[in-house]
Amino acid sequence: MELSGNGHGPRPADAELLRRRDTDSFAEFYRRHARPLAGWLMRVTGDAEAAADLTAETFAAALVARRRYRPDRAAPRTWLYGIAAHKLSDWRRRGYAEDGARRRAGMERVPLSEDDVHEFERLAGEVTVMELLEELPGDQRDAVRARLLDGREYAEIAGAEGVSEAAVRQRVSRGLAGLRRRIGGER
Amino acid sequence: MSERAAGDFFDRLELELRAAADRGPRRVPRPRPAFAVAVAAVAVAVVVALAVLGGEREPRVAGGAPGVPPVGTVIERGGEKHTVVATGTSGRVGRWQLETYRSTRLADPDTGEEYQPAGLRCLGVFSSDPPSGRPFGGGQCGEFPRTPGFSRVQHSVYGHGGHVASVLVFGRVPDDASKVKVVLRTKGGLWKGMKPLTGPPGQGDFYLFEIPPGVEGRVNWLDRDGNEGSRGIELLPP
Repeated sequence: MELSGNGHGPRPADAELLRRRDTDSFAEFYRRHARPLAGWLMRVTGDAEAAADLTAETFAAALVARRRYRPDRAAPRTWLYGIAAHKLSDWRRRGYAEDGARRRAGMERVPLSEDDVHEFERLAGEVTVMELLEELPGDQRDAVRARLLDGREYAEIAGAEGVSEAAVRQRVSRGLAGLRRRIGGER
Repeated sequence: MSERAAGDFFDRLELELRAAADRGPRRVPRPRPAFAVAVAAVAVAVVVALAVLGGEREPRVAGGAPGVPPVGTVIERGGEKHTVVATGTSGRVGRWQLETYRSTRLADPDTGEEYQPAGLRCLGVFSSDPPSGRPFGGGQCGEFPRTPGFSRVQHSVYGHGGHVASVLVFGRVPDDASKVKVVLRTKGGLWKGMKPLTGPPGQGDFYLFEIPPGVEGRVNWLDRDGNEGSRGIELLPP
């Protein structure tokens, strides 16, 4: 359990929220992550409509798939951003945001107001290291996630990826260098 | 997902998610493959005509747009081979290129239900450096059985602030077409025409208009006598 910041006692960790099946728990998970995720999607798409659709689609997919979440495979946030990265990839390839998960969940499309657009633009400026991680090349991103976020050993990652341990170390090193450049404002 | 009043986008999305969580997942009918093919329609390759409505420059072909691959170039995009069949430039959209490719199979990940088969002919428009700084791309796969050889694809282009800045209307044109026209139902009406642009060998002819968002209209091709060559195709509603 994580400690809450308001002095009202412990609050459940993200993994616990996903494990629970009740609506309020998923709502809490959504509230913790929706704005940072939307900000990252706005940053990488540069398009508020697309970022909004991808945010909705990501959380709809997470809602449907939360029963299949495996805490031993990835942290909840990593899992969520993995879904978003997949949706983003589809968007880039097709030129539009899919709505399959949203339709399966029976959700209506949520339109954006002008104020919402401004909010998305503001959120894009609040990008965190986690969001920057998603901008790395796939092999580096996965290596950094596995080693630093999930705490897996180099040898284990190498075995799972079918590459040498040295290659994994190199990917992690390059990924961290990429993050440093991005934090410094470079691309 | 709360008792809070639905205010901004995030509150409204939360309400949608809460309602979805309460009722559980449900099956949503998907279009049948044949239906998807017939309705989604689309075609292929290139041409251009551009800009019509705002003083944009005339589109160019065969390498006419600097910084984009010449017509006939085969490129890889998302692991698929695309052929550049026309290129052009407009003031609002910047440099663009039409590309033909083949569809990949799309299926429901849970049920396996197929809603787009692999191998359909597709036509898309792409731009890597538009004035808005927001690269875009998109297209459609399938055929238009009611207008053989003629198709209509639409793609909205977003500008600063996330609003649709303009709409690209493009498609394939029959060999015997002398012109493509789009008639917009604006105040007083607006008629724009262009000569079809020739794609690389075997790819046929194409067209592209840039129109303002939010207008209705119809696109068709004309034969050498100036007669309409087909029943025409309505633009997608705004």
